[in-house]
Amino acid sequence: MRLIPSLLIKNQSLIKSKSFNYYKYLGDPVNVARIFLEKGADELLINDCSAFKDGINFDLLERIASNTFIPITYSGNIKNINEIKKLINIGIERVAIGIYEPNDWNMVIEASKFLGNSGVCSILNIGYSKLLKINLIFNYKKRRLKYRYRLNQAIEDANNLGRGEIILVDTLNDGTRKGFSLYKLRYKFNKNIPLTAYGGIKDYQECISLWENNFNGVASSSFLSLLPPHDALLINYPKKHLNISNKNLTPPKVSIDRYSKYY
Amino acid sequence: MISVGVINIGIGNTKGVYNAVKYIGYDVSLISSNKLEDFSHIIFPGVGNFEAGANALTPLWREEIKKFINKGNFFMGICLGMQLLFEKSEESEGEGLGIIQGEIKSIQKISTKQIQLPRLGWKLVNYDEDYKGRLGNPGQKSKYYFVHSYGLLPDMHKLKKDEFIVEQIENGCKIAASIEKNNIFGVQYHPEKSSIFGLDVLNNFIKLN
Repeated sequence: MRLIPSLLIKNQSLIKSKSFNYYKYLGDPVNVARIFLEKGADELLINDCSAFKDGINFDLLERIASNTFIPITYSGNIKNINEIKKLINIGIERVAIGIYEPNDWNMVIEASKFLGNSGVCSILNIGYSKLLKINLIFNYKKRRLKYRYRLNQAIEDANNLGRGEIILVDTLNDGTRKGFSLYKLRYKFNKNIPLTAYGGIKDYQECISLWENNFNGVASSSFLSLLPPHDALLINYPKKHLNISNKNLTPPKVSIDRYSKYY
Repeated sequence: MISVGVINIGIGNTKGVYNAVKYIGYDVSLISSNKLEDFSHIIFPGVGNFEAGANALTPLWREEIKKFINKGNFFMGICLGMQLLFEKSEESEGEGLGIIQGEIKSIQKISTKQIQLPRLGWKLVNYDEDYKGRLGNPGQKSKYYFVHSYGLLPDMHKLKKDEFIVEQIENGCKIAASIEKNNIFGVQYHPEKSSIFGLDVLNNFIKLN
């Protein structure tokens, strides 16, 4: 039962995409990460889409990591083990590796040898072809659907080669708040593989139904950072979730008082 | 005089622990050369595979850590750092420090219902009213962030007189959340990533003298 705010970064700014296309500026990622921490978020997922052009922005990630004391998963153009070592060193907890073609699973396996299965995630960006009327893997780097890598094959590879958690991204509904349309895929994956749903999350009710459908985590950006109907910027984290996860807790009496009011 | 050192041998999120200790308000430094004698408290963070961790611990490091602990100074292992305190692990080859006798086992072995591995997320840990350890507070109910596939299983571990385990129970399976043995502490969860509850554990550890 993890509700994970997702931060999409482009050129050092926090942005929000709609169906992976339209971008809206949201603010400074360090600030927003800090606000999510103080609101009691479970975890953060950082996606850097400018990393494909400019490489991983370690400075920015270090600034975010040094201001937050919750787990951070990073994704965006991770090419080799040295980069993973550097990410872990600056305080990133887990790395997520984008799967665009069958060979990309090798990187996941290699990373899990160094980080253990628990430190690695794989991201499956799933798009829809209107022509073929089937789901396909969306290649984020080239910004088009990968016709040669079918979803069924990707799921089979995930069951055989996958390590750690798998993040399913609904690229079509991303940023639209129409609901996560891929929940039925849970049954095609091996029961023991933890899955996180990302893209199109409508409201907290939907998060609950996804958790009941055996999704381990739900990641969302627009639901947690924009206010409908005009998509005004409002960083929020549902109090209902905090009540469920915190109702049995007794906050410790430490000197870090400014946190305790959130528990 | 409290001075906290964080062992930096390239296997852990050292910066995360460093930032957390600094945030609580103590002097902290990253240790890359194996000189531990200047410190009163050492934290050994680790993320990753057991063998990778065991290989990173050179004989010099092992000797220095054992010397530090034998002097009676306080030592804390986090996640893989805790697992490396033991002799070996089912995860992979490689020799641990062997400071605490026992073996790290796969969680899948004991679960009657299958637990999704890696086992990750925030888990509730209850400290009893008569809790006598030093990392938590008696009667405290805390949540910590766990991320692991292997762990210390209290049912399969021969508990010595001076050892003390706090259990975390999920689906009827008992998994050690932390172990204390005199001046040696090990936590399976990540206190540096467990928000206020984790900072409290680090605070309790550093306050020991």
